[in-house]
Amino acid sequence: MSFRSIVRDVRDGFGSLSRRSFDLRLSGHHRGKSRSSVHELHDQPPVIQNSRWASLPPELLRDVIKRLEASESTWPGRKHVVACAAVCKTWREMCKEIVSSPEYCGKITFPVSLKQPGHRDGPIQCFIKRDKSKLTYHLFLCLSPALLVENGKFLLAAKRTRRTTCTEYIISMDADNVSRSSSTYIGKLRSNFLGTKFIIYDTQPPYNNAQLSPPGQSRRFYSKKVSPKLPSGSYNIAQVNYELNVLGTRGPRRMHCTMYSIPTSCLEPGGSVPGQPELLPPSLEDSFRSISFSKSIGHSTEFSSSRFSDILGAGNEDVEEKERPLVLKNKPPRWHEQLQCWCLNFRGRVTVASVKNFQLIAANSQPAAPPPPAGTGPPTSQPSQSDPDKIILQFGKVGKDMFTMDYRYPLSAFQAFAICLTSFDTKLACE
Amino acid sequence: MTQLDRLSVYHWLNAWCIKPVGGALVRQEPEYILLALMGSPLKKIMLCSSEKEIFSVEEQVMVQHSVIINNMIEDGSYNHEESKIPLDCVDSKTLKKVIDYCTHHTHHHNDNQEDLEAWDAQFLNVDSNGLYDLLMAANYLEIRNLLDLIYGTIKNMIKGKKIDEIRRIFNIKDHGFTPEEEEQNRKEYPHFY
Repeated sequence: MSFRSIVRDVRDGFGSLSRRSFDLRLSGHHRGKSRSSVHELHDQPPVIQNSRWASLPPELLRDVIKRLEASESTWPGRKHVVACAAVCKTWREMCKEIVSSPEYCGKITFPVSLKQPGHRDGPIQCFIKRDKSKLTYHLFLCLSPALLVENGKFLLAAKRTRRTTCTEYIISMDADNVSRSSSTYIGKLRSNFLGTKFIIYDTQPPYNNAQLSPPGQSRRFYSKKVSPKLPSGSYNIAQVNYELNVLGTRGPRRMHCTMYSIPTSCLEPGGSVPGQPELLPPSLEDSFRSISFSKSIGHSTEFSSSRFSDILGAGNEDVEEKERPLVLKNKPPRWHEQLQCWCLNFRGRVTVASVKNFQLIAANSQPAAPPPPAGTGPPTSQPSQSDPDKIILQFGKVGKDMFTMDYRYPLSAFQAFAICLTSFDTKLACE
Repeated sequence: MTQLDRLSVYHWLNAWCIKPVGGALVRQEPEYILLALMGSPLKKIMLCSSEKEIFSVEEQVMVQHSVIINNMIEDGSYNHEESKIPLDCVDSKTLKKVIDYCTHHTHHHNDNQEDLEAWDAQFLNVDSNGLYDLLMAANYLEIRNLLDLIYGTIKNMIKGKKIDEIRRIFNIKDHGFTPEEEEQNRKEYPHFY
């Protein structure tokens, strides 16, 4: 048998994946073969040739993608990195290795970056454009430092619908088609009638889903055969509450956000947010493979009428101190006697006074039990986690329908956007 | 005359040689001047392609560009009288191009940047298969500046193109995604296709 016919027989017997690796082995092992062997390999029908670039040796592929990623660190150039990840499987795997999440590099790359925590070192600056006629809100990533320049990379869109008992915001990755049935739907926000309590729903389950869904709720099991057209899940990941100040309407309102999907331990040194979505979302079929999948809880239990103190202590009895949900509160503004107004330092990112403006910082966790006498046990962790200088989310008005939003670790762009949307709807005003 | 002296004379002559006139390469190759002056040829080495074709090339040219060949010469594993360096991973067509690149960049390293870049652009005006072969060869021989050049070209081939176009340019017919994954891709990035 000639060499060419041997190659052909072996090629036909292999599947496509092994074909690729077969190609690699051949190209390294033709030493000592007949002079024309290399020509023969290159003359083979496309099935071996066309996978050469897809099966580039890893160190070379790494170099190619690393250089591309380094040269395109901002949008719109960053889209070339995203395109690379969709060209073929091997390129996608390499992109996954090279592109780090916004938490570490501060750059937003893939759509899933919107659900990953923000940069640890500083805020990611975005802006929101409101369209009152269409009841839509669009979130953009700032591409230039100027405040009113509408130069941004589109991130998320939200659309408001008013119901009899509540208001709902649908959040989507598509700027034009914001609907629950679209595949770009990623979550929603629902408010109570008064606009004082809001719940944020995510289509993806948080890390502690088993603990959050109370026992007794009906669980459904989905088999792989379910059509991917069914809507994805609805998981309660956060609650935002507004309350009047002790001064009533004469003072700024108070805001508390309980982030069920983020443990307070994430703010400690070495802490992180568990249960982050995969770099690139798995196929829809994978998402239905998860065994327990609780639907959104009924209306009656949705809005707890608990006070803030209850919320801070919310959670199952056996949830450890460190796994208590992170609570964010708004930084109280100071009364400026001369200007006769409440002031917050927005560091130039907010220019129009508005009751909607806020800055969120981490609230102190529950005060720990009195520390045990020395020598009787392990030291308790210090309760103070609030760092007034670390503004985790800042939102404020800069123009008629323009608002800036700056967020950082541990919030994700999606969570930050949802929290900001609550500020549009709340009825509690301030004189 | 020692090797080092010969090299410096070579470069000095190179700088003073007649420059190309009107696109034509009217040049007095410095090695011939040296030959005339010194009466002995510049050292050549033999490179053998995977097709067993032998290419003779100046040692200095390859030593300047290829780390692999430089190491071989330095550690004395190459015997000028008898040896040839077998390059089983590089076919004749690609090896010829690589030698071309190294030779040009050695002889023309004093040219201005624009001319060199224009030459490089012309040099890399090949199809994706040829580019792949050059990439493999440059990597195998560890020719840093050629590698950088090729990476830059690949980057430009990717930038600004739709995903279907990129697959066509790089001849990627089997992208390896499951039908569901590919459908998901198209839904998430409709503008990229």
